[in-house]
Amino acid sequence: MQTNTGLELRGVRKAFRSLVAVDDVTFTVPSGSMFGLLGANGAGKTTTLRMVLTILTPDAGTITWQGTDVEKVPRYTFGYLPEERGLYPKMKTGEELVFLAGLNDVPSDEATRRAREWLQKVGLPDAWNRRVEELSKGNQQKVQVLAAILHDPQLMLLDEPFSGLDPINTEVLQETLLERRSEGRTIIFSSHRLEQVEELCDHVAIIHKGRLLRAGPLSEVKRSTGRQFVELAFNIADGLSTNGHAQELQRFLTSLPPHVVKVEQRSEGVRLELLDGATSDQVLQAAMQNGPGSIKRFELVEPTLQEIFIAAVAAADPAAVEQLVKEGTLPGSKVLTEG
Amino acid sequence: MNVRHVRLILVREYVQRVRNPAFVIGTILGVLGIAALAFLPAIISFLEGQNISKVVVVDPHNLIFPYLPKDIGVLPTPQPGSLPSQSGLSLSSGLVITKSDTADEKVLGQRVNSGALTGYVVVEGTRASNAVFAYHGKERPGATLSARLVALLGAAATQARLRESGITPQQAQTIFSSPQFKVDPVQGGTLKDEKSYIQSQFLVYVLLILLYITMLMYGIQVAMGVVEEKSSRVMELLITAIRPVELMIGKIIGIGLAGLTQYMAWVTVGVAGLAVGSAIGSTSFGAILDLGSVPVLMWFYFLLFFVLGYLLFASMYAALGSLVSKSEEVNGITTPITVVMVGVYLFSIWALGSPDAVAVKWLSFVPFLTPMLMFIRVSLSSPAWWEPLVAIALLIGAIALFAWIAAKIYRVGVLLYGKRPSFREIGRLLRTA
Repeated sequence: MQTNTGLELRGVRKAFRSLVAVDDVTFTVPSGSMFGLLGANGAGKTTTLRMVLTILTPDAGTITWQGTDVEKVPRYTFGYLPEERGLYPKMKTGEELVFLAGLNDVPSDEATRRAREWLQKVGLPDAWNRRVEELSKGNQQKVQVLAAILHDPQLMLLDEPFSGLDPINTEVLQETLLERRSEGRTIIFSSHRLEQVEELCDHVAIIHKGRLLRAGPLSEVKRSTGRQFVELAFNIADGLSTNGHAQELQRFLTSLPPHVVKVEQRSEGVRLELLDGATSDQVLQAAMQNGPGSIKRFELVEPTLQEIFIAAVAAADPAAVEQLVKEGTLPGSKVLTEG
Repeated sequence: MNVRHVRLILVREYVQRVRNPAFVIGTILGVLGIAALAFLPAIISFLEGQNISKVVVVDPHNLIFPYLPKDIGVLPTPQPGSLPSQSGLSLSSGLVITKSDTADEKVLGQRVNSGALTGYVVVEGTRASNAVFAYHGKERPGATLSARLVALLGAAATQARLRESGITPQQAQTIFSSPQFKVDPVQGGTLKDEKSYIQSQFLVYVLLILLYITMLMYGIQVAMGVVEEKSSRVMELLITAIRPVELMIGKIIGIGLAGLTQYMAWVTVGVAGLAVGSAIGSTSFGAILDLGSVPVLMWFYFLLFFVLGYLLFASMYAALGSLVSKSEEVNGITTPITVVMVGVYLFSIWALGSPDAVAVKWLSFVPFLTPMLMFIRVSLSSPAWWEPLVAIALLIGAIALFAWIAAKIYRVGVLLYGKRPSFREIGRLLRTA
């Protein structure tokens, strides 16, 4: 049995009556990685996590942790932040944390010590004797996160951990997760906020309607698309959207070779995709000759996670992308409809 | 199964419940109610002492006076001419009947009007055989008073008529004494003595009521507790850490112990109240019931059937509770158990009077009925030595089966939100989960 296999899902399938929630999903979460599970609402993220936690039993396929069937892995190995948050509302915060840690086999004195330490750390030193229901939503969420990590699980499964958190608490949680990872813990979290995943994760899997579309290390997933982008910024005093500059920008764009497509306009420049053999040199030349100002920044970049996600979904299910944009689950993703 | 997990759940369930203000208030109100009940006889007799009905009897021809008894509690036996004219008859603590010191109805009428007397009775007629008792009062006599008067005066009149017919008091006694009835064992057999039989009957009755109330109060609480965990969504967290069966067992025992705590408070107050009542002589309840003489084996069965009965019904409540997601729905889905419970209760009350009926014998092996019926049989009848053992084994088997099903439903029910599932869906879920 190797020690670094982490979590492995092989051919996992789960159907509820005629609805196939998860269909033949295979991916690996290496030990010590921060893994992003991406998908729109109803993609099968929560079902997948529940199967890992053995709340649900797969119809087919196997799930193993460090080579052992998850059914046989001790429960305290896992820490879970359910998407539907829930604690005993009437219990005092300190008691509740010690109780939940106790269920994960942490002795009560040790649990007490850790709970006090963590409440201090997340800025809730006074919450100990207060009922959970008396705390604000954001603070309840912090307590919920602590409930998932207090027993120092080897594998944390966090379902949409950032939803409902303000920027400051988001920052605190991110730091906490990175710290856990640096201590060798494995973290899986599901999200549809792609920027965040991009920032934190080293591995990702994209699922859509129960099917796995992409999976692997983030850098590999990015490279494997073969897509290339150029980000350009010009020195312009008052922004590109002002009248005069808009015309200049238009002139520059028309001067570009035919296989270069604008994907996004920003205040000082544009993001362009290079298609069918167009090169960055061609773009640079055009920018130097026809740009609305001198070049401030010129960078050849890989696709963002969002672009990868949308392209992957679009390839599998073209109608779905528009739907996702309309629902607002993918902010600012008009990309493909223009391209 | 991890005992540590069960203990954690159990302790949380117990502590949270006992600390809950509603629980504390309920217990205190119960204590007050029971104290009131225990002191009720004393209170009633105190109140009655304040409100005594006084009735005098006027018997111008001395037809029945010689046959009135000296005091209550003794069967009216004729004691001709031995009663002093002023002797009072205290029939109950609230009613005094005396012979009148005057036959003047004008005087008596004034006494009634002034409130010194409630009323007076005139014996009209010249012979006991055609005597009429005429009651005079400001108000019609109440039911109790009429009944007392009729019984007392009627008995005396009967005696007087017998005398008129020439039958001596001795002859009358021989004629009217009821033949003796006794119960003897068959040759070589033994019978429970009457006192312990009555005590057993009482104990069975207590178990019936205790089980019944426990089911209704704490069974519902088990179901409610499950639903609370679902509606607060903490369930998903719990079942990832521990097994549903551990959660369920801890919960059932924890709630059961909280219930026992409440009972203990009530029983203590009740027993103390009765003891105080006996001490001040207002109740003779303690004297009837000398629980110290109940055989140890009966106490053992009492506890065993109470615990097993609770476990059986509580596990059913838990299973059904996990099928719904809102506390308003609990009553609806647990109705079947309540109906079963009421049926079991009514049947058991009947069985109490006929512990040897064939139906009782067979049904005492049905797990739902075993706690009550088998207890009735071991207390009041003599089942073969193996019968309780088999019934208990079946009961434990049924508890294990229901606990297993409940834990299964628990596990899938936890993830069922919204619409209540049909039984087909439950069946399907049980197979797939």
